[in-house]
Amino acid sequence: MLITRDNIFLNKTFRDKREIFCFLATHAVAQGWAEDANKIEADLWARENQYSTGFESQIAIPHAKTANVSHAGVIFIRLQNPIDWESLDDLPVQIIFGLLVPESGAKLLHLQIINSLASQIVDDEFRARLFAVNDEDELFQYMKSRIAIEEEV
Amino acid sequence: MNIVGVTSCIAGLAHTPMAAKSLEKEGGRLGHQIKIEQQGAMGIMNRITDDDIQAADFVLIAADRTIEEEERFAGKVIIRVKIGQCVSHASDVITKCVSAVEARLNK
Repeated sequence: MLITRDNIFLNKTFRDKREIFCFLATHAVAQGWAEDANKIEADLWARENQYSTGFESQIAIPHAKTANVSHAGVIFIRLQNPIDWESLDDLPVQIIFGLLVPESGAKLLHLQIINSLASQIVDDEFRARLFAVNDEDELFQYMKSRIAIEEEV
Repeated sequence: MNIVGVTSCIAGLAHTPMAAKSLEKEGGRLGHQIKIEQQGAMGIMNRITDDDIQAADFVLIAADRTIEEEERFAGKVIIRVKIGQCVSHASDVITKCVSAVEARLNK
C-alpha cells in the first residue's frame, strides 16, 4: 500500500519548512524509499525553489520526482501550529502532503493513487475532513475510502 | 462555452491533477462544457480527441513546461495561463478567458 498509518502524523510540531523537509527526507530513508536523506532534502528544495508548493486553504504539497528515490511514498503531516509557506493566499500551512516518486520505473498504481489524492485536495469535503479527523486511524480509513483510480491511462 | 484544456507541471504529480480538477469543477459550475487533459507523471490522461478539439470554442493551456502534441490545436484560439492560478482561482481564470473569447467573437 502506498498510504499506510505509519506515514500519517497528526499534531506534529515543526517550526519551519526546513524542519519539515528534513523530517520527510529522514522518514523516507527510515521507510526504505531512499538511501540518502540529504539528497532527498535537496531534491525537495530544488522543486520548492521553482515555485512554492503551498496552495490555498492551508495545505502544501512538497514533492520530488527523483532518481534518489527507489520507491514512491506519501507522507501526511498535520501540524499543531501552522507555519509560513509562502502560499498563494499567504495563509500559514497546517497540512502537508509530502510526495516522493522515483524518476523512472514508478509503479503505475502508485502514480494513480498520488494523482487521485492530489485531485481530491480541491474538493471541499475532502479538505474539511483532513482538518477535522481525530486520529491517524480515522484519517487512514478515510483516505483509503476516497482513492479512486481512473482506468483511462 | 465548450472548452478543452491541458494541464502540465514540472514533476507532473501535484499541480497537474489539481489544476485539472479545479478547472473541471469550476467550469461545470459556471455552466460550460469542459474537458481537461492531464500531461503528468503517467503521461497523457483524459486525452482530448480530435472531435473534442473540433467542438471547442477555445483551448486553455495551463503549463509550466512545453506540452505534448500542441500541433493538434493549430487554428484554434489558444489561451495560456499559469497553472498555479488554475489550482486556486480556476473560476476567475475561466471567466476571464470566456470574456476574452466572447469579445473576439463579437468583433
